[in-house]
Amino acid sequence: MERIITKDPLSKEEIKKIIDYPKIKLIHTSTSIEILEDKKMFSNLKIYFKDENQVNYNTSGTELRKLEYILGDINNKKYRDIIYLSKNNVNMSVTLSSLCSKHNLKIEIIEISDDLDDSNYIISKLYGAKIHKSPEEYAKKLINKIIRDKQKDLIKTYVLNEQSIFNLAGILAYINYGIEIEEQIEKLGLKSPNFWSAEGDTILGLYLYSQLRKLRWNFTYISSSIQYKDIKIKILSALKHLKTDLDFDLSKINIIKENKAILIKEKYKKILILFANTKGLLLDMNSSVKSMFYLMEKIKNNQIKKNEEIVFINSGNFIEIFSDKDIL
Amino acid sequence: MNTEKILKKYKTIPKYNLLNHITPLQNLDKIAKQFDLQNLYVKRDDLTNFLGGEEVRFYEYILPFIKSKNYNSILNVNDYHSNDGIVASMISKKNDLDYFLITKNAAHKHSSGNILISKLFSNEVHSLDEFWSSNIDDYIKRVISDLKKNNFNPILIHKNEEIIFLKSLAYINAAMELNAQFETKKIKKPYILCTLNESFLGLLLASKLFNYDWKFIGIQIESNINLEKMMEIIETKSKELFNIDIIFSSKDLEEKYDVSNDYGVLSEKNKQAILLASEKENILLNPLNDCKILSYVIENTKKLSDKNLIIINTGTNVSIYNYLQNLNL
Repeated sequence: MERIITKDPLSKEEIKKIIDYPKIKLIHTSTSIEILEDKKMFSNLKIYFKDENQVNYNTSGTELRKLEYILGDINNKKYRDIIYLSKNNVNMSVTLSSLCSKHNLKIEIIEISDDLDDSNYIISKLYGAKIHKSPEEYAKKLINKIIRDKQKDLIKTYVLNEQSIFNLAGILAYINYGIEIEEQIEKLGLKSPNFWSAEGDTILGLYLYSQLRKLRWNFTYISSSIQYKDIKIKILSALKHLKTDLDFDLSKINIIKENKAILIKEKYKKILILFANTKGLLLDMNSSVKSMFYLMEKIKNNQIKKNEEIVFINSGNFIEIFSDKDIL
Repeated sequence: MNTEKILKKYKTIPKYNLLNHITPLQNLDKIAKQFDLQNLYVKRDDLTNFLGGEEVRFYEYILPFIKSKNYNSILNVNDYHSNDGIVASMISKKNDLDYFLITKNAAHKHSSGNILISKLFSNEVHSLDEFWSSNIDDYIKRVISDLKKNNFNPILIHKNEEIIFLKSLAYINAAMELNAQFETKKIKKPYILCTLNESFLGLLLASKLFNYDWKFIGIQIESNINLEKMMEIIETKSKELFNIDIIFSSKDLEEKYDVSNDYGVLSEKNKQAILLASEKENILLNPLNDCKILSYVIENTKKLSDKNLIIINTGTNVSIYNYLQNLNL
């Protein structure tokens, strides 16, 4: 380890040095935090709503942040041909395809999920992505075949999932984003915010930022499968890449286990419609609608303290809405 | 009146800030190269806030007007694939206004794309069949009467002369942005290509007010746009506001390209334009209007080859979801 973190917080400049990886700037505006107050929905609480839909309406805010570093890596290594293995990661597929179009890169997506009629995939195709559907067990063989075929034409291929940046980019992005959020939190006068998200990289990146800066930030992570030992492994791996040593306190992260029952999906839809119809906000159907569901359940059951400062992160991308023909 | 005085007067018009950034002027160099065009740019007003599109600029000026007149709701009339229903309904919810939409020729249409989003954000969406669509004025009267009985005081956006003027005023800001972008990119004598509506007239108005050396090509996408009437309204109200005689005429347009027979239809050449823009330039063109501008450019490359062409992309991306299946991807 090159850097040992002392008890003192790192400055923002020091943090920028830690995450100094090749990057292509894709986001040129900050996303706002608006305050939601609604007695029926949130009792007497104020909800601070950070809307990642505001970054760019073609794509997902969360994925766009990751792709700043992934595109930086691709550009740095001078690849033009990309392969992405998707396990129903529709937000990443469509955002990546969009950016490949912009940056003159060729993208092939291997999708192991069955649902290829999804709007995200049609939009990915529109951006010029070549999409292959494959059972999971044949995906690797298919990737190798594509690589071999390209090698015959002396083309080298960047398999995104096999790059170290793939697992690191989201965490880097949200450590970086912590600087913007810290300034907004200060302006709002929040002392001990609790960030809600169902996106792992969002939680882990902001968590690491807060630990490096010694901030009193808390986190609520909604997930169907993640456990504290998984979080610890991910953080240690990220710190190793960042060549940084840090004592961290996982008690700052609260995990809520997502119930995957079908009935819940119907409730998610109701929340999506409620937010659109009363707040003019579109929640991301892949993750944010879930975290909002659990937040509202907790509020309804009086499990949130009156003075709790909830900062809800809407990860962005509304394309999924058009996939569900029965949404209304 | 000199530029400074015009600007001073312009800044007195009440405005809400809904757009907190300058929309990019993107160089479509790959398409330009493919078709031997000297310069082809697009003003990305699809990247305004909310769900994008010209409506965000419009409502910066419409909202204060609505509030000042104590309306508590908005009533609009659109075709089922129109953009106002989605952006305005979203903006109105964020500004404590109720939103009611009457969509023509929408009965029995599947809720996808624009209608889906409109329904998500609106209080009510009235999807009319052919009969009521052709008797729209009667239907509007009935809706207004019902709304008033239920304590709503709606402003009718449709064909409202004040609103037509406010929308065109909103595009004076866009024109000033463009002018600065032209200076930065050293673009001389630009040809502005825009669908014929208030945005177009706002840009034309700005070019007259500030003596910009711009040429205009208007694309008429729907037949019920009464350009002459809108020009009259803007002339009269500009005189009242700026105390300047603004005279519009058909000579202001280098060309008027009429594709109104294809309104709401996605032709093969439109599909090609959409695919070209998305694959090569990372832009989702609106299938109803903006893709028709690019189609026009592609069809007329010879006469446009030495021009600095500026497409004004005023649509939102949502419309593409009306037509996903038609794209045969």
